Amino acid sequence: MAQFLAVANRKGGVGKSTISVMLAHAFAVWGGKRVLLMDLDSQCNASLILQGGEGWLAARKAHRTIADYFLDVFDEAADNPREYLVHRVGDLRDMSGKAPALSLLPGSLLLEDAQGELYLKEARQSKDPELVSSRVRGRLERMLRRFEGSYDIVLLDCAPGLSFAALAALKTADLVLVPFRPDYVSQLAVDRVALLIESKRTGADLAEIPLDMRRYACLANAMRDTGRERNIYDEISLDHPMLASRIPMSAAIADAFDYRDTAVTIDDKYGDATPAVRGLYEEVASRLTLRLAA
Amino acid sequence: MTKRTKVLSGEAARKYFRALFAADPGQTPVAASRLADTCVREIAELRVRLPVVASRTSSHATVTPAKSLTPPAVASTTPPVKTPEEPARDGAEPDPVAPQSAPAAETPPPEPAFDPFAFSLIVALRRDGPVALLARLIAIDDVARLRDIAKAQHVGIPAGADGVDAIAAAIVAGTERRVAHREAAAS
Repeated sequence: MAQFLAVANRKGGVGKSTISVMLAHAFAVWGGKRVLLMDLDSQCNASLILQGGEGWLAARKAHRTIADYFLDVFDEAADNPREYLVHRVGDLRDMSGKAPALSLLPGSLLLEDAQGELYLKEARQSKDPELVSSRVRGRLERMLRRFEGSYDIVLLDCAPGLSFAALAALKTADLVLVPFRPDYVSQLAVDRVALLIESKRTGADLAEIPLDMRRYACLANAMRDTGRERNIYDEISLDHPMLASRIPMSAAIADAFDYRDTAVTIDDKYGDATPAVRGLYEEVASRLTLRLAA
Repeated sequence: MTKRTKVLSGEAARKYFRALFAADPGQTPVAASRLADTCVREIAELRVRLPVVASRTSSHATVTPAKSLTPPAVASTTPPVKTPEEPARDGAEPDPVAPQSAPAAETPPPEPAFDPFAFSLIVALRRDGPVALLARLIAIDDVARLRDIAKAQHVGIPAGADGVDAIAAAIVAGTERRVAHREAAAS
């Protein structure tokens, strides 16, 4: 059965999609795992990184996006849900020269609209808004789990802000990775998303859960290692579990997410940043293994 | 007692400078590298004490443990360096017969530059409490350095605050407000 790894933060611009893709690459190539990335962000950046503009457009034209998947499966109109997935996606090749076992459920610009539509469909069954919301989330959770028998790792790249899909992803995930930029606003955003992940209302409630028992771990992204950034990192560490790995501010990483028509090795793709990506992968894989054992 | 020294140049000097600055907890890796490059470019040859610092390991790494990224706050509690141009704090006049500059082999290693980020005010406040933070700030015993800390860590000091005790108290109060802002934002 697959393990579910959500990458989430209510703040935008912290690197959720790039971290999702980075880990999808790493698990598929270094881990030799069967990986599925579900793009739950209507910005569709993970899809664009993995498919390029043309590949993503083809998925949209074929009505094989996450929005189509949700609507069709909700209506039981999808004969074969696997047809919504794109297989051997991305511009990487493994050591044998083959594309790694990385699949994608492409993102959709219409994902918010689709979720609204799902709510309205469910609302025909009940007038209680909370009940309707709960049912929509529950159905989305089941749809996120649909492929768990076919993959080892399912990555859920969440949209910033709250949506039924994001909430379902947080509920489904075995581990939630919370990337953050080491700045003031991101620090506040980590506090908020932590409450959401652990279903707590206040910081005091959250503090009752020991750090090593939390369902999430924070990841410092785009660190320049200035004194101010180190202070913010330490301040966040007081209240939240942190990964030891940090992703440095790096031109190599920025360049890595430029889709190429010719496949390259993972080392070529991440260049100087490869050790940092590898370190992150190994730490996340270790955490998932520990959770599985627990 | 005569101290043993060694003359370094070229690659050996480059290695020495890199190790020297990398071992300084007050420097970021980027700043340490830049300083080393500048020294290599400007200094053709230097005489250093043995053992050479190059045998030490760097305190910086791309991937670090999560415990704390803030280096030990030794620099922040050390009184400022008295330069030859600056009168001594205890009122003593500089020795008029003292040499203008000592031979390189006898010059003590330069003290690391003051780092206003050496410790997080918020972390210190929350871990140790306001009394301990106040004591730590007062121990710095330097108005300019306290103001540097406040400015760097975005803590306001009232215009009328003057003297180490008042500024340290203002920093503690300002840090408490920053904690309150964060708690309010998450409510």
